[in-house]
Amino acid sequence: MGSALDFVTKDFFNWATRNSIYPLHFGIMCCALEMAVASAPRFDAQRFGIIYRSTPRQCDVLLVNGPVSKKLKPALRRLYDQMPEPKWVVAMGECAISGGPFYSSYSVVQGVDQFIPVDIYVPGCPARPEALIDGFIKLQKLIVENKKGAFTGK
Amino acid sequence: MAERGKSVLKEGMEKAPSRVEEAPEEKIIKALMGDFPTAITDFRKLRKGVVRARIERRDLLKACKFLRDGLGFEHISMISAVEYDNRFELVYHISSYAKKLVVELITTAPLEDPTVDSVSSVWGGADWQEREAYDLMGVKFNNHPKLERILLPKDYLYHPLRKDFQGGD
Repeated sequence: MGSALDFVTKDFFNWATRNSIYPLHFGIMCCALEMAVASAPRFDAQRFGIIYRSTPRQCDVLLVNGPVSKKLKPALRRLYDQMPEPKWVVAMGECAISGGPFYSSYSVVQGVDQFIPVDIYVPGCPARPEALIDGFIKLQKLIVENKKGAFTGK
Repeated sequence: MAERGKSVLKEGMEKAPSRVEEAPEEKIIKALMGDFPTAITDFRKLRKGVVRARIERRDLLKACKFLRDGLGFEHISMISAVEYDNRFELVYHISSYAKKLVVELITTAPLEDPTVDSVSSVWGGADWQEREAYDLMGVKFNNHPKLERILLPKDYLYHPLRKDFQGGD
């Protein structure tokens, strides 16, 4: 019964998921402004269905901008745990990918993938808004490839 | 509108103070030297409105109370900790917005015993400044209401801005 429902609804649910990605507003430093501009009229991420939300309980994607300091690390991990499945993580900018220009600082974690599993890395310092939107398009392709039924989980 | 030829001052008003008086910086110098003749050394005017003085660390709290109450310096603008090769120095920038003056007070502490009295009982704004100096340089403040780390995680082991700290983790 579950697999029959899945057969009918899987493609439709997957289409709906990938065209309404809701990232969490988690701007830390300079890349946060590029994230804001990406949803402004010039680059317009909202035409892809990407609407930023402020609470992790209603989000699909955790978008990490900027360097994560050692003091912020447990709070960010808690935000990731508060997001419901299915969820993805996008690391935007060099600081979130590897620590960036602050790699050898005494207070920066060298990359957010040290404590959170990352799906998409968007390079740049700061990452251009077009690069961020391109990262979200790649995330949409990733969601298509990993299509799973909602009722049986396969 | 006053008629031409008549003074605008009415009875009861006083004349504005004459411009030809000593500059306010010199007045501060005299007041501080008067109260703390042995503790203040190396007093000089850096530029218009800025005065620098050195003070012993045992007289710091009394001098700060006097600056606030007696001379009207209501704002602690910055507390910086500096490490030289044989001592720590603490530089206090204390300002008066009413008089547009800044006093730089410099105290010295030895490297083995970097403790100074806390001035957070005089100015509340000194609280977090002193916590930052403790966090990054390891300078301890006596009688501080809550001397713990403010920028780094609570269980961090080092004081990173000291000269003998090896960079990185």
